[in-house]
Amino acid sequence: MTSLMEPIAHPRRFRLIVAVAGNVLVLGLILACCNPGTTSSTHSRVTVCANDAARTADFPADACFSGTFHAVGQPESLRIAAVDKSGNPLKQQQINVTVSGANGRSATATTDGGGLATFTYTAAKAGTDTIQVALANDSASKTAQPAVIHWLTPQHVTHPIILVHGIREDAADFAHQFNPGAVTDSDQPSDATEQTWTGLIEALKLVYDPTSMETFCYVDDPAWVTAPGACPGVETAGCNTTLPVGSATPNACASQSSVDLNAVTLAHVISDLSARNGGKKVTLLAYSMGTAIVRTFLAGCLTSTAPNDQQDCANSGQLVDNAFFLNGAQQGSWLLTLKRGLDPATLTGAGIPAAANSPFTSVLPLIAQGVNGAIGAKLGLNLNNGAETDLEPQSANILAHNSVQPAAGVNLYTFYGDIELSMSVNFYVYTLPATDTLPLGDLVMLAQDDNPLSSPLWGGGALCDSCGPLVNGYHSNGRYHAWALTQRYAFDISGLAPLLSAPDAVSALQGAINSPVQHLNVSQPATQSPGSPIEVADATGRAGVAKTDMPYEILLTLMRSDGLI
Amino acid sequence: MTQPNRSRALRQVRSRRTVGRAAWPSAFVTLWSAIRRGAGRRPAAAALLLLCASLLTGARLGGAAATGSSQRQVALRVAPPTGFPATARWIDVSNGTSFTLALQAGAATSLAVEGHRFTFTTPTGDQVQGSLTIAKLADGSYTEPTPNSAPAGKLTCAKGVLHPSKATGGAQPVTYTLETHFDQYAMVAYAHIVYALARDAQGSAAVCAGQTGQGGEQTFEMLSGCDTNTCASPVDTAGPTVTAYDSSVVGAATQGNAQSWKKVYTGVSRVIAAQYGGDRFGSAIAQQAQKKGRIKSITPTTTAPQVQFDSAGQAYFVVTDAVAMDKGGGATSTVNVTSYYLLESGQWAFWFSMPVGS
Repeated sequence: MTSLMEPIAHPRRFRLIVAVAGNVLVLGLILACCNPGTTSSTHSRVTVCANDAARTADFPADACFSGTFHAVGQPESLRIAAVDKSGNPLKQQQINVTVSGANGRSATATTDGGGLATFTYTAAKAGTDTIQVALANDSASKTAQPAVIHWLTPQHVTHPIILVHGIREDAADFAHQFNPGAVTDSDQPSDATEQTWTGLIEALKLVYDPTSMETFCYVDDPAWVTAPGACPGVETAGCNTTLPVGSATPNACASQSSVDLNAVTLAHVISDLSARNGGKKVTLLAYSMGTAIVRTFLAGCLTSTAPNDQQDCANSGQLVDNAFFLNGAQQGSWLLTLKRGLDPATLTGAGIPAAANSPFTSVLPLIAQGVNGAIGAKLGLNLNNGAETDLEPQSANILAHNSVQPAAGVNLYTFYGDIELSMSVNFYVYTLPATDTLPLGDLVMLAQDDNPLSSPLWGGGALCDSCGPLVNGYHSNGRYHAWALTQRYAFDISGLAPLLSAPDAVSALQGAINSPVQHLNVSQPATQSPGSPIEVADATGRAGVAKTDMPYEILLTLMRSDGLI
Repeated sequence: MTQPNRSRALRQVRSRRTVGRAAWPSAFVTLWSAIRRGAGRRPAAAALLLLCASLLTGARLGGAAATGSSQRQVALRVAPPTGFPATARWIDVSNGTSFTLALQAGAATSLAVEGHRFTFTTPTGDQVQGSLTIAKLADGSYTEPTPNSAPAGKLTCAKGVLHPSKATGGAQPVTYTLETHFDQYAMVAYAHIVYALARDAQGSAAVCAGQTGQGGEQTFEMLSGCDTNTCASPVDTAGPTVTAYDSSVVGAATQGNAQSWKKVYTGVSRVIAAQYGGDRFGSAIAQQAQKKGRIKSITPTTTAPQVQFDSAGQAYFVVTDAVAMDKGGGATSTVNVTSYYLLESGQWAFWFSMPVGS
């Protein structure tokens, strides 16, 4: 009886117990109805990547990306990883693999003790496959990012191609990729980030004869130290090969020599390569400063005063059929204008007032310093070097090569970064959404002006002559074609507060600095691999989809011009 | 009147004209100038100046200040910066110009005389770059020295470089004269440049002779809190500006319509003003107020902020406020925010806020 009386004697406590019990019951019902159980894999994740054959040889731990190019008839391996909602490997789980596209099929794979599985298949047909994976018992775990494989029928078409790399890069890194057996780069194993444009080079090698492809060596290229055999035979070193690579000592091999000097040398390399390939025309691939070299060459080396130089450039210009510019220095880098001490408030975009009236007038100096602190330092720009002198917007070199149209008969394909910032403002407790957009190109080369004859104060990387508005990120006019790699980033101005006191502080700009189309990131496998989030409009109409990855678009463009597709 | 003197007089007249069309600091500068000229440097003049500054500040921030219900309980006294920025930067929204001047970062009391690199940006984005020699005046402010060998009022004629924003010609040498004046902290400044391309012999000669209209001379002015003779004191006006501004915000919130917020708009910096017109600003804030609640009061928790220079050389200070919100239906809340004020065109303008702790 006592026990029965207790609730009566303690009515509040009784009500509490009832209330708690009731809530527990309701909660239990909710869990029973809505939660699939503690062993559920609702939040499990499965990822898939494709092994890049070239990188697998050099950097096996850093060789699996969103996709790859591969030869029809050769097996390709995909790596699958499955984890539970806590990130723990899912062992002994069956994975469903679905291949759609040219070689559609279904298969299964089982994860090992580390939650990893490998799926290997060989395609019979050329074309593009998209590979999705999911846990067999949980279709909702389907990978968010499928892998993409472009299967190509191996060919050995002779079409001379020269890659002209960027400032402070090593030609041996690229020569090794073109001809791994012939070129061993002494510093190759040390840094995977040096090996860039991998997807593009692999794609080209599957269709074109690698022996007709070369990497241009700057006259002061580190390759003269790391792998002299990587440089075209017609070239000779113009730097002191006994000094350490990248040394600040004058005349060290650092790829920081003048654009003019390299443009003349390029003319000789083109002439030689064409001659060795039966007089076939040469296609140029140029990244960053390489673009300035190519533009200078295609303009006829106008500022070179040595005997025959201008004539040599003009003659070799007739031997070029295509030039692909990849985030190129068409008009120079604004980071160098900044180094001159000019006020970045005049850096604006279409429809944005200039100078003191810009909405960005008070933040542009901060943004400029933030970008320069994060990227300029990595580029190691130094106004005293020949390269930087020429790459400064409105330099004598840029004014000269932008004073004339590039050599007639050359098709010009330009890919440029187009990072657009929009800035909201907190007003006490309210938020004013952004209305204007600040275009900052790829953060090293702007994208405000694409006129081939323009030389704006803050430079740029776009090139298209009267091409009209972009449609799907692409526009063209005659021999001019351009793709904008547009990425938009919104931030609140308060996110710039760390920059008020420290120009190199981590700030709200970090998203843009880490952008896949940022100048230094665009060449990396994560951006270039098939299946990456960065896609461009397919202007060839041969990709089978409206948008594809950048290297595939370049390959298709080249194959179409050669009548291969 | 000689050409140089007439030119300077014209510039002074032009400076005064800005009173009617531009914001209060120009009126403030002119008032200060008048006081200095008329009453010498007596303490009474300074007191009168401060009184006028307060009145002007309140007047500029609109009638809302009078009707507002700000709960500000602590008088805000803003301390001056502790030293010069490495490079000072001033803008003039009315004239569309800006001016940067390399100083010595951290120098507390005085600056070297020579070698101050400057850029003067014109409304079209062209920039003239040159080097400036400065002299310290008795009141602690700085100006360009008059060459001993030159006639009174004549400026130093120097060689610089013009960086055109779009032209295909690239950087070009110019001949210029630069008249400048900035305060003891490098917070406010005045600059007046006349230049001509060096290849324009007639224009260059005119520039050096202090004449205009002879060749291709270009003339631009940057008024950012100073004129040729006087400079405002942003340290003194900072506290009253914030007080009045907070009042105007509370007043606008009380009235609760887009029109009332439009008055607040006059005190915002270009990051807001150039993205929103007054009407859009008013309607955007009114919408936010409907969604997030009405600001009831703004109470400072900072009492003595210090003016700082950001890494770009712009003067700003930071105030922490407790913002009481009326969420409707009797619900209230208090949010602590940090608000940044930027010295823009010689006047303090609301820059942005951020929640405390973010």
